[in-house]
Amino acid sequence: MSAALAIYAIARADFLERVRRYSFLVTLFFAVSLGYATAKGKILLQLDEYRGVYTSGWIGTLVALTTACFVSLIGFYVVKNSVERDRSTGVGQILAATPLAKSTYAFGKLLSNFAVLSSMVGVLALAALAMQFLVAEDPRVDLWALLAPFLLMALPVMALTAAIALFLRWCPCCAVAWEMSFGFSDGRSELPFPRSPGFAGWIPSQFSR
Amino acid sequence: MQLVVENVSKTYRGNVQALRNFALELRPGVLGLLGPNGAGKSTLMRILATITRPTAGRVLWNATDIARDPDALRNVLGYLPQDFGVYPNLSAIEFLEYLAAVKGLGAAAARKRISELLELVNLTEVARRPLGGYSGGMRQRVGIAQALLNDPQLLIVDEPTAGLDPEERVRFRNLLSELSGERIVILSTHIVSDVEAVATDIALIVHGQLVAHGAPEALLAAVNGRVWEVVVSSAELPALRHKHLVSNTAHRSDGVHARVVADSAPRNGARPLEPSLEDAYLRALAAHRAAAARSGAAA
Repeated sequence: MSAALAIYAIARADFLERVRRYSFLVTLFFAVSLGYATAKGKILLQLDEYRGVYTSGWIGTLVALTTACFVSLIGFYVVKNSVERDRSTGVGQILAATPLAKSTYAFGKLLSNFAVLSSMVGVLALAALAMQFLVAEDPRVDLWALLAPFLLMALPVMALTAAIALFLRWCPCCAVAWEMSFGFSDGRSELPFPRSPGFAGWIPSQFSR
Repeated sequence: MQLVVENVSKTYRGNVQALRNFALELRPGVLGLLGPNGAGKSTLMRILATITRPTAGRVLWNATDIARDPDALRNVLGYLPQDFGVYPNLSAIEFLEYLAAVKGLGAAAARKRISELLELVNLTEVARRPLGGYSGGMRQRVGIAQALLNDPQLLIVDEPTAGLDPEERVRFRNLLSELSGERIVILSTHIVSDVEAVATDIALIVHGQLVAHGAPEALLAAVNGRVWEVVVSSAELPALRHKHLVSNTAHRSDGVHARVVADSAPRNGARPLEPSLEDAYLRALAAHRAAAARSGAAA
């Protein structure tokens, strides 16, 4: 019970801290712009000269695909510093002096990362709904057809992004490989410090020297 | 309730020795850990807070080695680090709810405790404002509130009054005095007046070594009859400083009134004074430095 509460508390605090920052608003603005560009036909999915009719299913798929491709990349930058922030703010030192288990901390951060990315997906899902009215090729709204691509495609991609962002904080080799492949890791990832049991043994070096 | 520090040493990378064979035994009360900047106070605090492991020696909490079983101490520990930080976009209530959950408090118990603590640290009225807009003193009060969430048996506060204005400093001291009692409080600072106001026990640390440890009265007794006031001209002051340990000066119409710590009267007309803890601290510091210089020269 207390572990579940701690996971929830970590995720909630981290989520609130991030979504109240200007950088999150900027990212959200980008997500909405993406939805708008899709609605205006600037981002198209077509086979030769054929394109899909803008039904709920097609619009949902189109925007969910765009979300999975772009928001996961931009979102990675938004969520990758959750552990770093605990170090830079000094909150990590306080956490290190509590009985918090490393698995609890990691789950909390993972949940927070996922919640932040999901909120962007949520905004784009709403944008997709608005887009169907805007384009008005098919006035019938099928909510499940519209939302299913987000639930089945975009959200799993966000979960993966959330996990990768967290994992890279403790795996410098992976960070370097990621940087070589995709070029957007800062390469300053931290190693776990397994010298002490519990959370303090796992947190970055500034906490546990 | 007992905290024992057994010959603890800590060496950082590059062979930087922060603590050397530090030994101390603590029971309920307020320990003032005094020392100049860079003396090793924060390193010791971090070891006691189970954040850093000693290179040698061990720390026992009620006979349990905290390196082997840190949770034995963490469950009853309150820690306010020197560079206490917050999430600036959370309110005090949200931040304290977060840390309460991390410390294992249930939601209902946490709400009640947070309300009590906000009252105690006088932050109830601003508790819903973002922490980023708090002054340094208000943040420190949030810091002490988070340290008390689990009603700790061991409370460690590291340089808590740094950056506080005089009024906030007095309020903080009073708060610490109220909090002592059936718990061990360790107050680490380089400000002698903070320790003088609240400590029941004082440990002096220089270059990672314990130089003196005892009740304030015992430390004061060491300089009893060794503190003098002499009046000199401004031109004579440098020579006086060169020859003796001058703990304070005040410019008056008849010259500079210098407070001198010396075994015998530094000059004719010197007037004996009641010693202060600052005199005792400076004398112990000077004695340690002189001994270190002698041993360095001998080597």
